Amino acid sequence: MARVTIEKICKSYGKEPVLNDLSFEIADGEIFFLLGASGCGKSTLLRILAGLLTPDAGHILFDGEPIDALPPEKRQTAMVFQNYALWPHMTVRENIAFALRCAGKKGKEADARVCEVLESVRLENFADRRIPALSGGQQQRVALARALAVRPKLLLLDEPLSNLDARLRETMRGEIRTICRREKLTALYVTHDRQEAFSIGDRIAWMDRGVIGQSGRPEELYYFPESRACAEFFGDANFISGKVSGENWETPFGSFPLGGKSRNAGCAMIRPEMIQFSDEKNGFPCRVKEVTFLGESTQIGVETQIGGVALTLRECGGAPCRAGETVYLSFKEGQLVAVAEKR
Amino acid sequence: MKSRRLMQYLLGVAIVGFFVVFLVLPVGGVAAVGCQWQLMLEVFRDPVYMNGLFNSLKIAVTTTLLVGAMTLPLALLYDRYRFPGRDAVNLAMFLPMILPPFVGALGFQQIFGYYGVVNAVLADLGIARVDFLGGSGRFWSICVIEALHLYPVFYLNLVTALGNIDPALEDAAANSGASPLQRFCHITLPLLRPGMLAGGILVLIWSFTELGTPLMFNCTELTAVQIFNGLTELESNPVPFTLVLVTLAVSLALYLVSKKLLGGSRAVAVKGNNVRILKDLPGFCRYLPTLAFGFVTLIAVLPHLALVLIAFSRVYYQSVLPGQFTLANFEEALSNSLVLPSIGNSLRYSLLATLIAMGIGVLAALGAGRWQLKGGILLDLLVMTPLAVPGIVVAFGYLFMSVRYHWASGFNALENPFFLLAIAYAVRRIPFVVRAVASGLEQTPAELEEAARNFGASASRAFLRITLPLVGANILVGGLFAFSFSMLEVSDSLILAQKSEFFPISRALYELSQIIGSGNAVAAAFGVWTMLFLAATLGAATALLGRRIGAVFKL
Repeated sequence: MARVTIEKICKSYGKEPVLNDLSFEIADGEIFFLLGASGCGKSTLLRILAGLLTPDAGHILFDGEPIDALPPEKRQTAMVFQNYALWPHMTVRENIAFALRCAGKKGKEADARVCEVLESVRLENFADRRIPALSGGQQQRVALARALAVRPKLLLLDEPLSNLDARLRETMRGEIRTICRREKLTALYVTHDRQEAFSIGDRIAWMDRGVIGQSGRPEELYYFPESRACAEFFGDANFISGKVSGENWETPFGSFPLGGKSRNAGCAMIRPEMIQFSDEKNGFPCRVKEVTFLGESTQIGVETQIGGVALTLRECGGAPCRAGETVYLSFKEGQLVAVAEKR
Repeated sequence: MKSRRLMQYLLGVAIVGFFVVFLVLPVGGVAAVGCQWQLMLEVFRDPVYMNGLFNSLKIAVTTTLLVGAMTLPLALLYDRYRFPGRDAVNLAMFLPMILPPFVGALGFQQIFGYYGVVNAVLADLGIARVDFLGGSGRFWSICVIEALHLYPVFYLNLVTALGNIDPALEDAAANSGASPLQRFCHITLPLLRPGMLAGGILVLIWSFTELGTPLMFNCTELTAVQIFNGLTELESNPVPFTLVLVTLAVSLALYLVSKKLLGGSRAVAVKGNNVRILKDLPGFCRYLPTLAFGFVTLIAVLPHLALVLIAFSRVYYQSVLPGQFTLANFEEALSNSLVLPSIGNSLRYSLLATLIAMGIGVLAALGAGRWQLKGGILLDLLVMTPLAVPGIVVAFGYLFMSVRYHWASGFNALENPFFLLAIAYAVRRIPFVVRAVASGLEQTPAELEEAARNFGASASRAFLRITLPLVGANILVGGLFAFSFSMLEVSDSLILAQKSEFFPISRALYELSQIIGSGNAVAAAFGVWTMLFLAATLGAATALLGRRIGAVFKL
């Protein structure tokens, strides 16, 4: 375990800057997520932390100590690679034991640790299997076990669930969270799957074109994004043009109190599930344009009668209205937030 | 990390240095001497030389076309159908590689000679004898022998290329209404072009510069033979220098023209995740592929079967089978003063050559691929260049180098060709090692080594424990090929080994075959020993790599 500080890291491939003066800190024992679209520099940062890439500028510190000069083998990081990078000429046990031997652990201590981690990922019966004889999910768990076995100062996970099917991915999310908590690991987890980040992460940083766009707890990034791009990345959103007036957002169909901290706004944003049905006295009138059944919820597309602003809301269960009807809606308190048009 | 990078670049520079000294300088030196207007004019005005060049080209093109016609149907059958003995007949396609064309010519002459097997049958039937090997028959004989020796190179490239074509691409064409012929012409054939190019160029250049087979047929109207024969009067007639330059230029031109004609690049990724499901042919038809493979293999080994018969014969003249059998030729072969020393010499030259080829080949494959050195593409191109430089040119270059450059005078081939022969063998086999290792590295993600480093293994430990075991088979196969090809090498051996005490196997075989009387039978017996030895070597290689062996023959 370690407190990890990333300080003004820059990295370019040729003339193309990938990481641009990147700085943030991961607390001891924290599961920190880096989210962003493909090519935004997440994996590059991970490889820099592991020592597999050298940054053009900046520093990495573990517990305040710079580790920039350390080669990969001295950094005490353990990475779960996207394609697992399991050594195909070794068995499951040998994969883990070799990692332990490299970390200086041998003999009975190493054997015991191999059994322990295999048990924690529920693969104790597969110890002597060769890697190609395992399923994708099992390989993923071996990769995780190998990384956990060495008790790294920093666990690095590079989209480890991207090759699994939806059901297995869901199971593994829970397991990763449990294991990280139990082993009290500091972990940096890279993905572009927001569900993964919400369900496992203590904190999330959203990366865009080589810089951190916004970081915070999962709920903060979801409900209170600071930019339109961030809001769009984390889920469906309604964007309403208007202007700030004190603590309110002025729109053609009414003035609404703003939540969140941002007031330097290009537009306002509210998530579909934060719009609710109301009555004539407390709501604004809208015409229902479209009702779509999604299974666990129903999506309703409406247009405000004043100003003709298109909005989308989501209701659990069946729809309380039909296309063509007039309904009254209101925003849940503090859920309309001002966001910048640009990053 | 910086010191490691520096070391990688230093190794890269060392490889370039090796190729500059042992390829660029000697070949460039010969080319520079040969590049004189007067000599050029002499060559291009002399009908003997022009005829030699024309004949060499004719042999190269004919051999390549023959090889293509033989192998394309077989490769398609192997790729698409399940048939009895499929793996066995595929393995048998390797046989010609252990059958030196050089001594195969003896067997071929025994079969088709004026007093050979076929004419014996004709005489028995009361039909007049035919001079198969006279006139244009000699040209066809050389082409057929070379084609029968080289077809595995082309076949392996085709099979590998076919294996890389995603069957879904052809399924999609069928789904769009394309007939089998349309699918073959518009989908399969264009996707096969890189494989055809890789194998075709090797066959083309190889047969263009082949020295051994034409020598056995006493065919002097070929450029390679004219260069060889010119060696003895080099002091008074420098024309061979120009002939070497012309051979080099034509080889490069053949390479460029083939590339232009066949196009395609190795970067075209056609491999999908779909596995081709082999089809079964109905009824008796399922035996047809086996018969086709069997027929080609039989034709390929026929000269060598005849060679075995010659080796066991006391008298073999005007008859289908030898008149009398004997083991004396084998004993005589082993007791001949040329034979045992030549085996020892070949082993020494080939072992050193293999070590050099493996060392440089592995480093070059790592440098151009895994280490991603700047200029890696140029390094790759440089180490593959020997494939386009005929052996006769390299050998001639070394002779020239040892005479011309003061620093190289210690390598004098006339005094002791050990070092020069080993280097000459190695330089021309390095491409095979590089391709074998590069193919292994391509199938071994760099991430595996990175993962080991991430878990605390040093760079060297990660390489030794992770990468080396995974590409070990490829390195070994590259080495085995380098070794067996070195043992069979003809051009360098004939030119660089001038004193009998330094003769390698092929030169000893040539000398034995020139002895009037029992020479052919003793040479044949010696050839059989050589084939047995090489069979064991290549059998091991095939068992190790299976289908991946084709990667060794990619340009």
